[in-house]
Amino acid sequence: MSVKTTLEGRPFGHPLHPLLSHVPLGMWLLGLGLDVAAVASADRADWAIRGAYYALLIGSAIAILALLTGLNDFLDIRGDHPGRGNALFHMVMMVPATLLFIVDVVVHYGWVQGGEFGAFALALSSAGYVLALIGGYLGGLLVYDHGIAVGRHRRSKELPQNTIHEPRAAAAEAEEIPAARAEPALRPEFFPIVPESALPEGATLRVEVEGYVLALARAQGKIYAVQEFCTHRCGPLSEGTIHGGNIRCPWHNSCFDLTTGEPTHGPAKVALKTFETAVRNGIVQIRIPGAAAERAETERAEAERAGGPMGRRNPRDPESARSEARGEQPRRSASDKP
Amino acid sequence: MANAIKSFLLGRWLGHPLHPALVHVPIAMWVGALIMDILSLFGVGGNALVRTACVAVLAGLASTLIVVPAGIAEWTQIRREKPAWMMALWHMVMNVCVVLLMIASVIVRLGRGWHAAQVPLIAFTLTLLGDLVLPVSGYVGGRMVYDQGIGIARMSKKRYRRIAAAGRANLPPQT
Repeated sequence: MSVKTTLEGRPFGHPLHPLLSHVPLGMWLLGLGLDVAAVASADRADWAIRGAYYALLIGSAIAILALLTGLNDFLDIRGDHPGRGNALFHMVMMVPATLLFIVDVVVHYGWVQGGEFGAFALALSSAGYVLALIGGYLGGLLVYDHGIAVGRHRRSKELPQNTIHEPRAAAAEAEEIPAARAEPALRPEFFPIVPESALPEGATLRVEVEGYVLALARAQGKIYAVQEFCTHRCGPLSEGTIHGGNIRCPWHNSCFDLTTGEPTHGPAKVALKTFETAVRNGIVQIRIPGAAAERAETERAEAERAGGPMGRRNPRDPESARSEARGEQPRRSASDKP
Repeated sequence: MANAIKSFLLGRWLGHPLHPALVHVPIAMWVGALIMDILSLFGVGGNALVRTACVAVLAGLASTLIVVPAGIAEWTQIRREKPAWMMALWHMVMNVCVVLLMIASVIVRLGRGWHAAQVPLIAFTLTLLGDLVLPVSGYVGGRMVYDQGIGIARMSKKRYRRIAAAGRANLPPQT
């Protein structure tokens, strides 16, 4: 286990960041409450001032640990994840909140020593707690709306860092991709995606090709492509785990047969879309049925709009039509291995 | 009326499940009280720290007045045949033990503990016992979320359905 996965809490089966965050949220609240009591009391309740100082000190010390684990968790959120902006906003609230409370602890120390810092201390605690409440709410949404860190402890592999777009259609970022871009399509409906080496046993990738968002996975040596979204609550299957020939959703543990897409374990009841895959020259290709026809249709429509002649590209390549007629299938990845 | 209360307790008005948001308070108060007690036993803080720990235990108990009903409302959302149902039951049983220990502890703290310069050993022991059960119970609660997915995507399902539909996914008919 690396430092990163340990800080994520994977060895404990529970993310560390939300666990640690309980202490600062509660102790800062106690500090704020005691500040109010101290300022409101007629006889300058010394015990409450000292108590607030200790509560804020404990809360802020744990907050520093929470901050480290939080930053570590942030690194794991996919670049185009719908919750990423929320995570950033959560951080923008919580980092200043922690800094305010650290200053607040110092001010409380002065207050304990007899300085007249009551109003200042109360103002700092209040401002800090408002930030912490907003940040805490956003942090909760990361879990309950976006499922961040849910089911993550079951994974031994890294989460997909970005969606891989079909290399010929998009400017690719990863170094290995140009090889995939140069690789010609196996047949008209096939799209070269990534080198086989990008997908070791048990790994998953998130791919977008021709508008389809897919999870690409290698299980028992074979490469499978299924729709990315679980049919229960649309959880991200590319962040799930492989169990034999099944893929398991990280959110509510629905399992699907990778070959057929059928659910093998609830709560999902509807099958996933599955896609044919093949490997040629070490490049994984995915077949999108009807893609060639769709593309030709789009091009024809565009050509018509431009007033040009139609039929620049034949949707049905005659070569592929012949091989289909002979019943030939492209080689499956499993038999392609040397 | 019953539905409105349940909806409130589930946090639908907040767009966030209420129980896991509020549990920060008792968990932090009781863990914080234990840290303060230990500091007190090392001679730190004097009566101020003893009183603060007492207030912390009390504040945690006060929060259970809403945390417990919210937790029970969450429990009724889990189907009996799911593993999370039994986990929730254990979570509840352990939490009842913690609350009873904290009540016993706070009685001592409010009594002879209030003016003491150091936390009474009996109050410390009761809190310590509670804080031995609390992390186990909290862990089970956390596993319900992070391993079983209880409460996940409950409020965001429409949004995620739109994302999945845009990604040309096969989806069940909308209910």
